[in-house]
Amino acid sequence: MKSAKLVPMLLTSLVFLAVWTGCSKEEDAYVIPDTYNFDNVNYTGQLQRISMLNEMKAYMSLASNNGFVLDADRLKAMYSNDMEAAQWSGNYDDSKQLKSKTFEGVRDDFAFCFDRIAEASQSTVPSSNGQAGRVQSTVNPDKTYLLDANGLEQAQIIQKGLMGACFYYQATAVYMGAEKMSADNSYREEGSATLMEHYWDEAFGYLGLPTDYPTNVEGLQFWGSYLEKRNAVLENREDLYNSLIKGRAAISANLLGDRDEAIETARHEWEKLVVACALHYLNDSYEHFEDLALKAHGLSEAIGFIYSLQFNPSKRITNQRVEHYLAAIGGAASFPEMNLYATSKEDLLQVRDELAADYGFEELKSDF
Amino acid sequence: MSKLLYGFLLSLTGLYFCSCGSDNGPVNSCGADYDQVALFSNYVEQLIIPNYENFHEDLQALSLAMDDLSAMGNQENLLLVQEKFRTAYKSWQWVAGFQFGPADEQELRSSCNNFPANRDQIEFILAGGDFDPGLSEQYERGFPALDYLLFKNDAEWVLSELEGNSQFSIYMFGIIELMLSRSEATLQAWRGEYGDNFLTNTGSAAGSSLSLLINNLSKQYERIKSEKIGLPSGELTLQFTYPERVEAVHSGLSLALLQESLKASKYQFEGRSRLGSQGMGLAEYLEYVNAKKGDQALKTVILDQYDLALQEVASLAEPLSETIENNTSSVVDTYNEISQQVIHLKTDMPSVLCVSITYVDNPSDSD
Repeated sequence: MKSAKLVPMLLTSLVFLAVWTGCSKEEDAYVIPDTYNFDNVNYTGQLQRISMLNEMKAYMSLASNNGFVLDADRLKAMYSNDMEAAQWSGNYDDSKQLKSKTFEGVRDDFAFCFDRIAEASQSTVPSSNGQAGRVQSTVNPDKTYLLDANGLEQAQIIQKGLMGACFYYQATAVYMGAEKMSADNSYREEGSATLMEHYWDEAFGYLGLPTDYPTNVEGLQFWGSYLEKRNAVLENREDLYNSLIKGRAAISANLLGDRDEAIETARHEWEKLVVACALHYLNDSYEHFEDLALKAHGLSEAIGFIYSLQFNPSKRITNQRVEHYLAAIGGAASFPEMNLYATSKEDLLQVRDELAADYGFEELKSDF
Repeated sequence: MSKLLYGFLLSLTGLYFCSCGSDNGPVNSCGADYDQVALFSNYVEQLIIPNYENFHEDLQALSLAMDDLSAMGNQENLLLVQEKFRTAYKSWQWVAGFQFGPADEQELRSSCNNFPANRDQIEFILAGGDFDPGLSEQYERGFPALDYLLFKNDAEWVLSELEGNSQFSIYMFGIIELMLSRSEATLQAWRGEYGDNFLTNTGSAAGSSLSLLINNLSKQYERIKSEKIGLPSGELTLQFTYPERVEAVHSGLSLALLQESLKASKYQFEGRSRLGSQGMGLAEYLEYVNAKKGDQALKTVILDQYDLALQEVASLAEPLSETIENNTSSVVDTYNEISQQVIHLKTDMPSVLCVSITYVDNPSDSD
């Protein structure tokens, strides 16, 4: 090679080097770990609320036994953490509530569900259209569910509804929202995170994953357990989990642009998880359409997940679209007016296909 | 060949030097030698005191009209009260950006305009429940409560309540008395020592007059954005709409008040009196320090943005509560246009004038 050509080539590469490295002094200065392993991570409030919902879930599940009557007031007390009346097994701080952290606009919707499930639990006859009661699956006799007079399994509406209107909402809209994400990020008290880091940890807390996920898949809670379950088809558990890790690392390095990217990824991947859960249960109820227990259970799950889609500020569909889906399944978008006895198999398939199309899941829709 | 290469190299080098660009604008001195005393005088004498006087007079007129109505409960007197209500509510918008110092001590904002009103509590009071207008942070007093009392139902209802329910008058007068006394106290403080001290409280530190003016201009602007339109339109609430939470929902004045408040905000930025005479203002201060946004004067950017927002608001149909339901996207567009200004008022202006934004939008809990 002639030296006349060598010189400019060398120069070129030198300049490229300068261009590529010149501006990136600060941006390279942070490490994104493999797990949610950071200093001073603390989200006890989230763990307490998750535990409260677990207790509510356990209490409601007792009502699938004939003769077990639920107390609506106790459910309401659990929801608002009225210690005395809630009869908790666990210990919770006075200030921790599911209710006060549920999206304000729907906070009172659940009172209806508590009344409704308690009323249904008093039934002594099997469920049928217009009649609340228990129903046992013929396909899988281990499964018995309590349905209200309109065929809704309120336990699922409550559980999935609160996963959406409380946990998912708090994480994606509140803690990842503009207000919390403008909190102080410079002051660290000894042994504590900055305020912004702490808020981010709280968002992570609502995902229900251990900090050393996915090596450790023990003790997955609510969204965390669905993330793992749907991963076989959706394959996004790393995407969602890693976005939370990246966001925290970016905050600690005070790189808010990177944090904002992490927020958008987290919101979007979490939303995909919600959709995948809805599609899974729509498939489930379609498949077991002739089995009242499994059909009603699956539809109630699907309703809860679709309803949850509303609570993400970067959601890909409108609330009107959510209402359209709820009405297509239950005849109406509001819980009190829904009736699952009128749902047809075609309705289900239609909802599944439309919803899958909204999110580009046409290829995967039957696999969930 | 090698010339071409060298040319390419040169252009790359040029790229490199621009790409990390340091600020090449003028060195900013915070405008420390600007005549702040003259600036503050204009604000106090041409905006703050006259606007508070106006507001107080309009409240007095409303109170007098209420006297007449309660002496003679007829349609005509009710219409007069409603008209005075509208006038005073508009005047409130012209003092809303000056809710610091004496107004803060008097809790003037929450005494006059906490909305949406607490309907249940209002009904409870009308049915004979206790009413203590002086209690802090309540939502059953001020214009929003009067809006409910005077416009929720038809004239016949108001007149029959006035005649048959002694609680109605007690409540109505309790509301107006509190607004009168607190606006009066605020006005007197501005005319007195507080106003005097304000003129000489120079500098740009937290608590200085400049800091108060800028912080409150920005804070009020954010309130306009979120309370009057963001929250009811669903833009701040995951697209769940709350049409009943608009300001003045029963009198249907929402857009008129929104328009008025944006205009008041613009004039406050300009240092212009409500009647339109131009004096020294933050706008001129920005010009003085040669503040730029891109290649435009920051002052021009802000003024243009006010005009765009005002145009958007003018394109909406009253009542806002119905437009939110029927034409949500037009309201969202307006919200977005209004939002564009926040960064100018909250970040750009404070930073060139070396003022810190010290208010917090919403003290939020976390656990």
